[in-house]
Amino acid sequence: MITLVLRSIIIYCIVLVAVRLMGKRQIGDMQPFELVVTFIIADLACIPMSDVSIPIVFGIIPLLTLVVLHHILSLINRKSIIFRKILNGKPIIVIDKQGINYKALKKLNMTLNDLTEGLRASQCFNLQDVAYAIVETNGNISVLLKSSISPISCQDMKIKKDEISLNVILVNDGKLVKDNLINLNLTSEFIDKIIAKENTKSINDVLILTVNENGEIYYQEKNKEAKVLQEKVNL
Amino acid sequence: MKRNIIILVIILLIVAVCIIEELVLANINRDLKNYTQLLSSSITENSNDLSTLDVEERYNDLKDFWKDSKRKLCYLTNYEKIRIMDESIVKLGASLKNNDESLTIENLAIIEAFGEFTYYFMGFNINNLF
Repeated sequence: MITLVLRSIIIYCIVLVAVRLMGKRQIGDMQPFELVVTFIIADLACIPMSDVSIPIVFGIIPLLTLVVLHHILSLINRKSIIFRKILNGKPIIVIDKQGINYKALKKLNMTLNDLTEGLRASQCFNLQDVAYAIVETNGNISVLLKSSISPISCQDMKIKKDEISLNVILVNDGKLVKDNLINLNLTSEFIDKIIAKENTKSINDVLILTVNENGEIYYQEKNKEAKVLQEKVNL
Repeated sequence: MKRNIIILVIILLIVAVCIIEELVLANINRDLKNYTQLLSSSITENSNDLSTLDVEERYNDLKDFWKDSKRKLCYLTNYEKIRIMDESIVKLGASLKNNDESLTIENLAIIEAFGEFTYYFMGFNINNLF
């Protein structure tokens, strides 16, 4: 039984490395060739894990070969437009100004139910609101609403708003995120100052502390309410 | 860049494993043939009495060689296939002790065929691709 445990650990680590090497896409966002590799990897990992009569190399070598193959395909996919078209296909317009393109639907092997379901997933419940709907190469449906339906933006209203800035986590569950602190050219004294100001005993009691370019600080102690503070930050 | 280096290392690793496998299998097949041929000629020379020292020595050489090769093959072949060879060597030993020439020749043939089959199935072969 110890062999099975050790084999499982080895295979798990290798599959983990393989998946990490292949990128971070979620199943729904995968291109066809990525999905195929994922399915095969799952199957390959199972066989030598459960059958001790098969050498573990029988699982590892095909797995690593697939990683290499996937890497090469991704590389060519990035460089060559023709290859990308062959491997992934191309986005297809299924709804345009003339309405639903039935030919395109047939070509995609899609039913009207699939189309309306996809539209609803894109928050579009009325067919008459759609200017264009495109089926992407990964199967997702992108929708462009008619201008009369699309929400009014600040640009439309000629309103000037502060630029949105990204909140960066500086304290995560009582732990200082040093990399983010260095990236923002801040020191731990900045954190100590806020903690002292909020009468928190130590950094371990801080659940989360984030900061953005506008100097807004989101601060929450463990088991306490969150606060939004304002601090002068030169980022 | 880092990822490319890892991929390059993986490619080298795969190539190394393939070459090692091919060499190990070819060597085992060749040596197995030699040992079985030596034993076979010794059996032909001593066909009246198979329990002679010469035959026994040749058999022990074959047994020791297999013991050594088995460890290497464990990394490359399905263990179930190796068991066939183990059984044949034990049967060969028993048939030599019993002075049963026909059974000895039969077991020797199985052992010889095993080497060739293993090499055929495991080594690089265009027929195995499809």
